[in-house]
Order: sequence, then C-alpha cells, then structure tokens
Amino acid sequence: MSTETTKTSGGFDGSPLEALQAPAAGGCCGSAPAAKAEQASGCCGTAVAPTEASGCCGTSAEKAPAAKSCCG
Amino acid sequence: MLWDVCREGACGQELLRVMSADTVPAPLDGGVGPDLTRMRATVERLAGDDFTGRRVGTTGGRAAAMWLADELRGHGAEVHFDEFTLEGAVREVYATPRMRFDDGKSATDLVFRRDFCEHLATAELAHPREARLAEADGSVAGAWVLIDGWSPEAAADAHHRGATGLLIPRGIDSAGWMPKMIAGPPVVGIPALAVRTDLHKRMRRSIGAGRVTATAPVRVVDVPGQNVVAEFRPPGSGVNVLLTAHFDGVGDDPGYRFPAACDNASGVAAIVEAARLLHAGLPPGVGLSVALLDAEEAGAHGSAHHAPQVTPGTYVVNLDGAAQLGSAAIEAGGAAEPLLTALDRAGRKLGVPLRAETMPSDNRRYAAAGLPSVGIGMGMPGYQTPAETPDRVENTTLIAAAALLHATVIDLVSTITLTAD
Repeated sequence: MSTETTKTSGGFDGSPLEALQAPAAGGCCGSAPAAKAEQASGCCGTAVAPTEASGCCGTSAEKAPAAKSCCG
Repeated sequence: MLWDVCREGACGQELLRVMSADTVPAPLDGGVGPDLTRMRATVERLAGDDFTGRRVGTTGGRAAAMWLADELRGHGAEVHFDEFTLEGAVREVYATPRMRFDDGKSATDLVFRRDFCEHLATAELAHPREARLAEADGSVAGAWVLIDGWSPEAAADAHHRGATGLLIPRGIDSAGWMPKMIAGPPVVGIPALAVRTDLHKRMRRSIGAGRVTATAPVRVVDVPGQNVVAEFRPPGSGVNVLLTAHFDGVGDDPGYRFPAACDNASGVAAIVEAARLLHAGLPPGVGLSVALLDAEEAGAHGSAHHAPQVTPGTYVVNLDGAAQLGSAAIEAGGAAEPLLTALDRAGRKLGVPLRAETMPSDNRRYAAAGLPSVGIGMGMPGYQTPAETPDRVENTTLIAAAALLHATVIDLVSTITLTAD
C-alpha cells in the first residue's frame, strides 16, 4: 500500500527523475518493472504467478487498491 | 480566465484553490480550458448500463469502443480500430456463484463478492458440490480444504489427494466489497473460492461438523479486443505525442453492475479533453495521437499490441484513474527525462502535487517498446467494485488531470522546439 504525502505545492518534492527509478519492492509480485512490462501473461503482464501473499491479482482484497499497481 | 492565467505559469496554487471550492468551475474562457461538462458526460456515458462494465470482448465493450470512436471523430481526429485476439487471458463469471455454509447448527447462504468470491485460478464448477471441511494437513479426500494462502503447489497437492476444492481467506475493502479482477494465475485442476477472513476462521472452527456447498461458474474465454486509435495530427519530424488511457473495465457480473467510472472512464474523459484542447492549440509540425486501450484489465494486452506500431521517439503519456487526487502517482520509462521535466513544471504551474510511485499500467508496454513514457495515476475510489460509480469521480480531479496533461505537452513541445532552434 502506498503512503501518500500531502503537499502544499505542485510538482515533485524531489527530482522528477526519481520517477524513472525502479518501483520499490512490493510493486507487482516483487518483480522488476522491466520484467513486468516485457512478459505477456500472468500477473501484471508477467510470467510470475500472483500469490495470495503478494496481494496481487485480486487475491487479497485488503491490498487490492494498491494492487492496482500490481495487476493492471 | 483561470486557465489562461495558469497557462502562463502565474497561478501557482490558484487552480487547486478554486478546484477545491464547493462550486464547480464553469468552462473557462469560451471553451479554451478543460470543459468539465464534457468530461462528466463522458464518464456518465461510459459507466452506463448498456456498456455493461466494458470488459474486453463483450458487446458492451465493443459498443463503448464505437461510441468513443465517434466522439474522437467529432473532435476532428482520424480514427481506426487496432484489433487483436486474447487467448486464455480472461476469466468470466457466467452465473452468480453460490456458497452455503452449515456449521453443524445452522446453515447460511453467503453473499457473492461480500462473503466470498471466485479465486482467479479456480477450475469451473457449474453444479453445487457439498462436502465436509478439512485442513490441508488432514484427510482432504472429498473435502473443501481450508488453506491460509494460495500457491499452485498446494492446489496441485490437494487435487492429487482428491480434495473437492480449496477455500482461501480474503479481506474486503472499506465498503465491504471484494474487488473483481479478470486476469490471474494459471487455472488449477480443482475449484478454488476466496472466503471473507472472519468466515474462513469460522469454517475452520467448525471442522468436524461443518459442511460447505458451493459452485464456481467461472471459465476462461478467448476474446477479441480493439484499441481505438485517433490521429489528430500526423506524426512529423518534430515532436510527436501519444496520449493513452484504457477504456475497458472488468465487466458486469450477473446481478452486479461494475460501472468502472473511476478506473478508467475518468482517465479516458481527461485524455480526450486534453487532446481536444491540444489539437486546437499546438503549433504546426507537432504530431498528436490518442490511443484508448482495450484489455488493460486482462493484463495490458491492448497496449502490448499497440506499442510496437508507434513511431519511434514518440512521447507517451498514459492516465489511469482521474477520480480522487491527493497527489498524482508518476512512473516513467524509456528516455523520459524531457517528459518528466515538463510534467514537473506543469505540476508546479498548476499546483498539482506529483510523487514518484509505481504506476504499472499501459505505460509499461510503451516503455518496454523503447518509447519515452510516463504513467499518471490520480485516484480510483471504489476500485473494481459496484461502488465505482460516476459520483465518485471528483470534478476537481477531472479538471486537474486534463489541465496537467495539456500543460505538460505544451511545455514539452515548447522546450524541445526551443532547444532545436
């Protein structure tokens, strides 16, 4: 689950280039973004099978809103 | 008026201050700025009953694509459909699953998507199957087996040992729903159902006396998909921009509507509105296209099909969710530095806060194709439940999204053009 920061001004707090960095662990099935994008099937477009523990692909509803960033 | 001020970069917090007011801003300056009425109409239309939740391959999904194509043509774009086929990617609930739990004292009919739902790996079980309850490490033959977490190995083991099916605990969202998804792990050999965590515990306590009767009318379907691709300005030798948003949803269940207003009718509305504004205001030589993508919910297959067709070097901006802005989640891929810089400047001008955050949506397909891309997420309350209705889409967020997209592209084009000169 992401932690949203309340800001009082627009734009990024830090460098915009931080958005280019790999998402933190816990993104999609714990896989790297490149792996997610390059594969064609499975969780989040990967060959990695989603698991209950990862909260991916609707297997854990508490995490499902965050898992939007998980299973497309 | 407000829009013109912001476009000049002088408004700072003004846009968000006005957008945060109770009153809804009127269309600005003769239609120059984002038209809220138009965006709201798009959200309402896409969430309508006749589009049936817009799942890929359904009549409602195809009708939504046709409607969007007409809309885009009405804004002056050349439109074509980018068609593809999905095999084995979509799980379809074709009847309402049933579950009855008898704890040995009384029996209760459980409510689908409140008390239980399909597990995406389930085998099809069309007709009710009654069986006792058991633990995985006990005698599982002829029993519904209670397990604490999903694994294909555990499923294969239970299947091999003659289990009737698997029951896996699952939580609910703040409104008590189990969000629906349509793509998941490979299907296993036995039925698998997810049960609300507290009920799962009750079932475990009833082992010895408890029985469950359930169905899992779920099948894997092969379906056609179609992206709606609109060319407002043909690709040129200068800056080319592609704005994208997926229009598909997870589709209605039998007996439940899934309007998909936030995910992603809201994003579609903002993208189309931004494109309409940009078409009217970009300098000559700038390419501008829109791709409204199908099958994102099935694993971003629409964008996977479309991305290789895009002119190399095109800047791609994907919007997934424009319904509830705290701060916009941004994820970039490819050589997206100029795009990020433009986005940052636009956010500062408009007072829209941005944060680097995972945004694994269609943007990743374009990044994987080597295109500079950013994915933007601006909230989707009620995510993939019947509660994801048009009233959950905030006016302020729709305006902020369209304004952010517009200002970002204007900044990007201006910066690159100046650099080239």
